[in-house]
Amino acid sequence: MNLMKREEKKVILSEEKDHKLATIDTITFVTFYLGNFLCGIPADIIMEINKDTEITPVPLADEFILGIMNLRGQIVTVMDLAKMVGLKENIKPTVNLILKTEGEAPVSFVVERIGDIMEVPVNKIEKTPERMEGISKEYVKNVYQLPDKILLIFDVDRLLQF
Amino acid sequence: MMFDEDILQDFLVEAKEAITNLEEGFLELEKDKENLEVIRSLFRSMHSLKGASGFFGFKSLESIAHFSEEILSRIRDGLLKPDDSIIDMLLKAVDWIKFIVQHLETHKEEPIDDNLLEFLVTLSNFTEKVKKGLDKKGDTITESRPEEKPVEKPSQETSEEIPEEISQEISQTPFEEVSVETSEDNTQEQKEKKKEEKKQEIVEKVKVEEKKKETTQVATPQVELTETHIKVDVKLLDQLMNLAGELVLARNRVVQLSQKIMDDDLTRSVQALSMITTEMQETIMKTRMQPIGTVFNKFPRIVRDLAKSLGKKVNLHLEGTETELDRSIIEAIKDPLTHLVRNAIDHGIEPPEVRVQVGKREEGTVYLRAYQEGGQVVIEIEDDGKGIDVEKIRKKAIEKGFMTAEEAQKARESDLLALIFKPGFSTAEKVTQVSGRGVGMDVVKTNIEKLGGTIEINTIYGKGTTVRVKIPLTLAIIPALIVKSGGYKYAIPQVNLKELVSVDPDKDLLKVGSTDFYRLRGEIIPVLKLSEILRQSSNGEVLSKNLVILTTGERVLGLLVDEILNSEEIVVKPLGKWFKDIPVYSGATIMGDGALALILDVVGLSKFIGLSVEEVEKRLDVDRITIKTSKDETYFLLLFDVGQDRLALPIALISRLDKVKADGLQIVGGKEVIIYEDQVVPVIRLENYLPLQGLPYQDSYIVLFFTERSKTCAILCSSIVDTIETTLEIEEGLYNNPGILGHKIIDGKTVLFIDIYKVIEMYDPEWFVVKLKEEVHTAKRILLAEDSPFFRNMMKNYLEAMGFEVECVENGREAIEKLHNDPNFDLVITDIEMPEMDGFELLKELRGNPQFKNLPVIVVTALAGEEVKRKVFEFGANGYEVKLQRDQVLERIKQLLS
Repeated sequence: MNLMKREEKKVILSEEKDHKLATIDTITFVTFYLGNFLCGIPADIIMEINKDTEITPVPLADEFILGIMNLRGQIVTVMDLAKMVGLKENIKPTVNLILKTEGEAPVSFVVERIGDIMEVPVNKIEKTPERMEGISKEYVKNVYQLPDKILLIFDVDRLLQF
Repeated sequence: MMFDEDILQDFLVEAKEAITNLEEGFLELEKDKENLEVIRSLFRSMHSLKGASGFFGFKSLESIAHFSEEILSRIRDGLLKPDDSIIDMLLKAVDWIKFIVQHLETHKEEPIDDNLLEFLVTLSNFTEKVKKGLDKKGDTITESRPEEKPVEKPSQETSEEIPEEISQEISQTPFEEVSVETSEDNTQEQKEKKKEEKKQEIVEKVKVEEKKKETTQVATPQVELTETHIKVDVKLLDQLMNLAGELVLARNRVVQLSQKIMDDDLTRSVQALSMITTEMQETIMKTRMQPIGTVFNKFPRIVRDLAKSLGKKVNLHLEGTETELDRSIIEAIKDPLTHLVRNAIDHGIEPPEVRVQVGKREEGTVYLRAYQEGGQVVIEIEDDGKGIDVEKIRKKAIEKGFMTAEEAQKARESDLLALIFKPGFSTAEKVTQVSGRGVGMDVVKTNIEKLGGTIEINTIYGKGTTVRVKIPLTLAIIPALIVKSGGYKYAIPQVNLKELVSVDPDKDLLKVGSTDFYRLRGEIIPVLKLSEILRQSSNGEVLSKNLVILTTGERVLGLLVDEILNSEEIVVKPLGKWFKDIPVYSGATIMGDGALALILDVVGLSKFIGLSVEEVEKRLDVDRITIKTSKDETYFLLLFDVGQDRLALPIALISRLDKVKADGLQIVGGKEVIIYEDQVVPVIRLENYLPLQGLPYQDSYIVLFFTERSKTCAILCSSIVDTIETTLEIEEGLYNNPGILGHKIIDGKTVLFIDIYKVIEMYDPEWFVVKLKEEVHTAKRILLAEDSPFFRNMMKNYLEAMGFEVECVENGREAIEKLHNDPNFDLVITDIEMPEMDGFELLKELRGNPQFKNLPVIVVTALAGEEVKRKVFEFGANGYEVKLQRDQVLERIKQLLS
């Protein structure tokens, strides 16, 4: 049942993407900083962004899990994104990016600092380079070259797969 | 006929929905007579209305729906054109349905009304004519119109004798929209409703009405249905509940602000806000809970119909219908329960003539029972039918290749019964209409397991079957104790809570090996520190003084927490998949102030007791496939040294542990004693009775206290080594001294398992002698079935010390053989878990055999559990005792033999 749902969701997601590829040629990303890395997650899967929420720690949980929070009566699992992607630097998690997760318990990624909302032309999205320092490459789906820096586009499905 | 209020309400809600659909549908149909979609939907509404009213036995409602359905089915099949006369008649039918439904709502029964009967006749004739018209003239139906007129005349005539209540309404025209046009004394509401309608529709309807007026003024009742129950999406309720939680948060902020401002008026209004918020939250929570009766109450009818169609007589008893469960769980158990009840009647209860033959009452009995137990809701389906033939399953298992012949021969009853839940295993010889439709017990099991529940079967061949379904209260509201540890709140389900004790951890706790213990009225309880389990850094020395005594149903443990706050009703919310591997939480909950608290899982916590527990568990998992015997049961053992020798005793036998200084030992009257808590306690040195090397002089000794029947003695030892959880599998033969049961290698050292009863008896043969001996004049003979040599020897010893003659066997089969060769036993004592034939099967054999039907049987067990107890007595045992509680076992024997 659960599996099926997930399957369905995936299909829908990919359809959406295809649709976007065909008609509009930009994807909107919410960008944020993890240390010096500029990272992005597609804006359409982010439900809301909030700051300084009260997080209840869950002892014995994995290291990258900061705890749980109460989002209008829903229990949201809060994760330290920097730790998840294997960022070496120590950062102070402050901003919650709450993701839309259909059916399943919602998840929040906590990041250090929020950046701009960015429209990225689809045809400018590039493959992840072979070598990446300071961050696990497996969670970076694509990159986008900005004039002064590079935007790492995360593979959210991958991040939530455990 | 009496119905449950709730079912009737459900029906009424549905009926009202159907009426709305029908009215809208017919009007739609008038506009577009070819609209197949509408026709189909009309047919469906009418059909389900017919079905539902048939279920309740509402005859006139059913008939109206039936005739209407017939007409509609012809329209649907394209045999009939829905001309105005037909739609007219059908709309009249809807009006009457409305009238009946309203009457049902207020009077709980169908109206008795001549006009209604009149209409029924009219409708019936009309339907006949429509049908005949079809037969004669193919699909032209216009001919039926003139025929209709005479049919309707009678109803016009009777309209003068209509009861007041209706006649008033009839004086207006049957349709409210039209009545708006014709009469002036309409209410505002009706006018508003009218506005909502599209004008075009009204125009059309007016046309219809005019036509109708031309022909006849029909006495259809006009009724307004008021809604008392509505259907609401559960998601909406969830959302509402979440919002209420959010409101609580907002309120709390306002409360804080008001405390700063300190304005009387503000404070008062904030208080009011506060109360209303709480009340609202509670009310919303209630909307999700439903008594299980909503499912149970559907069964009397199902059972009745089923019994009738199978030619059986069945009495259904419902118990615990008020037990509350979350709505979603109630929905989900409906189907599995229906299946189980059907099974009980179809396969369980015998036909009346068979029942009479075997000496049962002609009527079979099925119990459907629900109650709460240990954080779960238990639902039992019990029948007094023919039970399950285990031999048949055995045969089938081999036939279908589920087991080899050898395996099947060895398999115990419970293993065989478990096969019923395997896909593709069905013992029903013939496929009946009721069962055997491809939905087997495997589906039932899967569905129940999906809810996190379990299912088990107990059966006695010839006597009946009990199916027990356990469902967790995962979604339900549960009372819980809120405690604090490391600055955060945790909830402990009240069902696991035994008592609260305030302790001084330094003084009251006893550290043995790596585990703390607490002595609670003689019982030694392992203690866990919540902050340690959760690996919370203890900032500052917050001394945990609050000991919460918990039980898992099988095991008691103490939990030290920083603070005990209060008791609250909490709603269990599941944690995400990232927390699946942490055994100590069963979920989270949102507290009244919006903060989160994790819910502790007591069974999960109990896994933290002792170091080797996990290993034992792991091994148990592997062994589970093989036959379970006493070898798999584990006990807490206390390992201690006396000089060079290492000894072991089950910890449950020891009432206290303490340290004494060497000068605390005194010789009084030729006996060594110590003064302990104002009591003179005799001291036993084990080396005097057992072949030990001896206890050298020490400054202080460890004393193990042993209390029975308010007599206490103390055993001296050099040091405590550890407590371990292990099995009692021991080697016999090497040490044949009385007082030693056997030995076992633990951590590379030989450990002697001592028989404390024997030792004490050697110390003082009179120690255990109470009045008991006088009463036993001739030696009574006891048959003891026990596979563990440890317990076998220990129990044999203490029974013989009491003057009984004891014969030992190692399993149930041997016991049966023994009894057949030599039936002169006064009592049987049996263990439960044994190879070849377990205690339950032994009991069953004995109770099924007229020779031993009345032979007293005491079942002894390692761990007391309410559920096992229940089962044991169900199977006809006379007593149920814990092996290690010697005095209680003896008490029970005394009672049974006197």
